Amino acid sequence: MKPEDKKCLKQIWLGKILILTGTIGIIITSTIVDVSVALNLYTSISQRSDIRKYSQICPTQSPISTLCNVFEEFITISEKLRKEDVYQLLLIEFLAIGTSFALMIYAFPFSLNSHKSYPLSWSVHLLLPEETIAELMALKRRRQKQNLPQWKLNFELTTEVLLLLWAIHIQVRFQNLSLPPSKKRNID
Amino acid sequence: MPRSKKTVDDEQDSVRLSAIDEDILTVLLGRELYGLEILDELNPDRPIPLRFSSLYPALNRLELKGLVDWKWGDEMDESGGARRKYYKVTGLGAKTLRSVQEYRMALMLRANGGGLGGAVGA
Repeated sequence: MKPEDKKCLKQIWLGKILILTGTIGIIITSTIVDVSVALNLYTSISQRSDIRKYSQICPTQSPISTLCNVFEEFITISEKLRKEDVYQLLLIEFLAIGTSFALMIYAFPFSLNSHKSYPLSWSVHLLLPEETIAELMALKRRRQKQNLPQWKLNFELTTEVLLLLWAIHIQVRFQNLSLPPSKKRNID
Repeated sequence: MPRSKKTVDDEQDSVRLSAIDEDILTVLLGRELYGLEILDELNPDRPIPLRFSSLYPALNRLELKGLVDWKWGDEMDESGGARRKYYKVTGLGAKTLRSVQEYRMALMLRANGGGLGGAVGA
């Protein structure tokens, strides 16, 4: 492979890694935020129910009852503060998701357009295995030799790419669930 | 340690072939072809032409069943430096295909024999 092709492929892989990092970022951030929100709510609910239990047991004018009322007020105030914390956490979550999304959107065209001199089909390297790229390129050359109109050529290649994406990323994965694992090959 | 005949027979018995699998094995028998060549061999006489999207899942299936194997070809300028995979039938693949073909042949002979017998009987 030519050095410039290798460089292009490296950039494509960088794009892939960025996309992957963005996606993992979204998942981790969402999980952390959701767990912390759930813990906050659980703690406040359990504390409030405890205080209410004590205040019901104590006589109305007793100092303990007054103390319970003070505690309940304190809990109410802290709940308000927690709600603000929750809003802050949600804001952080939205920001994280937004950033990851922006990163993904940025990474994609960056990896595709890094080398304008390469044909667009190089961009498919991000999504399809090497052998399918080789076959698609060979098909493209063949159709070009047949002097097919450009729109027809583009339509055919786009259809093939879309069908291959479906076949390789979904159909084959489902199919592999019911098949034995790949055996070690010694043909290479 | 060599495997017993029973184990080999069991392995062969468990292999099932779809129509596409059988077509691909027939085309690949005794030679190495890449994807587009397989399609070129199959499609001219096929009522419903195969596409890459049907070919690759079938080849993956056949590979996992141990019926075909592949090797990387050289990098081609015309394919932008990407390499092709050259597929060939394994011993198990050839055996399985042969047994399916023998079964079809026996079925055809039986059907023809039955037809003639029926005609004679009438």
